[in-house]
Amino acid sequence: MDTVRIAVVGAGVIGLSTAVCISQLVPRCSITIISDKFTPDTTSDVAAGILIPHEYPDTPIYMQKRWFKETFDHLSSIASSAEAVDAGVHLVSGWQIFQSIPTEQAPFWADVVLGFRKMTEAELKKFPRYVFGHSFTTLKCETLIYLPWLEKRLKTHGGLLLHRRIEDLWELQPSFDIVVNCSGVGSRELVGDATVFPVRGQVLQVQAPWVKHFIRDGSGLTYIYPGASQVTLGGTRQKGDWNLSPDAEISRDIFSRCCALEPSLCRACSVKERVGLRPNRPSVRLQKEVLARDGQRLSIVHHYGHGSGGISVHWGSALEAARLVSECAQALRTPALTSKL
Amino acid sequence: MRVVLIGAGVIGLSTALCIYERYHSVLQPLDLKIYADRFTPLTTSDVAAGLWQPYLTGPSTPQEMEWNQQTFDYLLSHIHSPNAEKMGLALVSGYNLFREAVPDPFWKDIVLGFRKLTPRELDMFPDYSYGWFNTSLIIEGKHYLKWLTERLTERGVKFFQRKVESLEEVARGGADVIINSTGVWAGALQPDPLLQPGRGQIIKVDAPWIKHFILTHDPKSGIYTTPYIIPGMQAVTLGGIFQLGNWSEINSSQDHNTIWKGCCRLDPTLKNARIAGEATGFRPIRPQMRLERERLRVGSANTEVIHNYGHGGYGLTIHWGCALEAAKLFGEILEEKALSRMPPSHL
Repeated sequence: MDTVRIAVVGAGVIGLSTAVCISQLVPRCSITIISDKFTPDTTSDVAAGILIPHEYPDTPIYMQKRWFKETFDHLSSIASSAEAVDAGVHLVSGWQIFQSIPTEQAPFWADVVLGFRKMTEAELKKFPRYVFGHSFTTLKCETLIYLPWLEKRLKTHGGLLLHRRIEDLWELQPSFDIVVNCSGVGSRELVGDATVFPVRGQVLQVQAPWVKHFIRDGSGLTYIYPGASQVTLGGTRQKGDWNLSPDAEISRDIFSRCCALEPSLCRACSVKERVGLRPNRPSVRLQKEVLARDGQRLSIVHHYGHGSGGISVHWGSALEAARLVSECAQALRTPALTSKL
Repeated sequence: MRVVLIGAGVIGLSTALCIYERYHSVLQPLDLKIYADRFTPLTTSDVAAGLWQPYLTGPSTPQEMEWNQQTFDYLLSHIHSPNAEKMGLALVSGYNLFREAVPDPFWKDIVLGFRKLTPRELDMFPDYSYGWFNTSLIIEGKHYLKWLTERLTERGVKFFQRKVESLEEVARGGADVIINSTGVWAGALQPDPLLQPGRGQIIKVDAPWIKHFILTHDPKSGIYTTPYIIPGMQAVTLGGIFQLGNWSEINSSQDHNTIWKGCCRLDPTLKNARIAGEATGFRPIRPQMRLERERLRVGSANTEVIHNYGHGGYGLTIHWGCALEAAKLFGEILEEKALSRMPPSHL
């Protein structure tokens, strides 16, 4: 088999970064991204893109930490390079605050971010209802800029982008040899995975350029994430809610919760409301599968279910997916082996 | 009581506000006028990046240490207010970088979260091998002066655009107390060989992805002579120029190149930044600031003068403590005047 024809379904941060990793790892392949949504309309585009991991109950911690570290290191080198602005990656410092002392003093990712330490008493004075906090420096990956940058990288390497809604992965047979399923919350219907469900998140994007620090309530429900072009205020966690229309009442509530943490925000202007459906799953699905019908086969690599933590682990996770794709490609290239199975 | 304050930079306006707040109920009427030939956005305070940070070497006096602390605490207390943005006030964190280990600064417990840089953080700055991280404040001149002007105007303080030639001229005009906050130009009112301009030039850029200040230091070449990057309320200030004795107010293209090269080397992402402006200002350099009283004899009368100038590159950093001190000196003047007016039997 000369050129392995690879289709990546889904054009969010997972789909695009997986495609880029494949292009770097798998020799002699063609890559086509197929999706019904591209930036700025993907779930990733709503996310603030701050690198603070989400914990997956069923994925081993050492693996989550490895993915986070690989993502952090990768974005870190972009942030200090001339590409930083085009890629939308920059450093940001701030605080994660708790209303009661958390059971674990430091999360598993404390030594991956920079300068992680407990907040001092003086720092906590800024947040009267909070008793404990972490101070650290991390990265922000502005998806509205990062995704187009990834698309550009792909196209430079000959990748194609195709606007199409896929109802069944088998549609891609026989045009493609390997299909990488990065359809996020869409996998619930696309591959019938009932363990993935939406966790609806509503955010406000405002103009408040004087806000230089992130502030995150330890519960993850209220946060202020300043970016290069706007500040993201959040949020909500509504399980099983598929509604993509912003709710005005929720917006008012988000604004009021954020102004309580950062009073100067009341002078923020130009408010945009956005909604994203986090593809929640107990663990990230990184798995090979072979679909067989009427004597035909289609290799699948599933790569979805990153919940709230997609951007935080995307690169490490994509490297893993690319390795699985590489294994599939090698298997396809040595037909003598496959016929023995 | 007729009070004339000369100079409308941060020192002048904050001193005026402090004196007004403290004494307007005691002195009925308090006639407070501000004379200046330059107002915001043309003052020295408007050129400053506005980062709260004293010099690294200790303050001249324990008093100055207190004034720095008072200023930080005062500004920090306003951070929580919805007015913070209008005042030009915001928290900002960042890096102080050195080529070798240095002792901790005297202000390490004034700022928030002061700590040394970790090895991974130092990796981001290949030319430097040691440094600090802390959270401080921006108090941006343009916003703050505008805010102070509004507060003073609300209180009936009158502003006059005037080039004052001498303190005597103001005394002869009928002032009982003169507050001299003329900054680097104080020598024109009264010769002061200790006062010199420390010329600075800055470039303002649009680089909204920059959220941290980065200040470099070279103890051999002196303060403000090596690159610094300071994000403000909106734009980012790039600098690294300090020229003692240079009175040229024209932006120099050589200095522009020095700043640009130095800052781009420090943060390569700046190459994408759009230049939004450029400015020159004269830090009022003096071995020690002059904050003291002087009694001026003009004709047959005495006029009280409070000098409050020579704050170098740390005017915004220390302004409120100095304003409080100036107000204290003003109070002493009032007491003396009250005592001198009381009939002898009350003493």
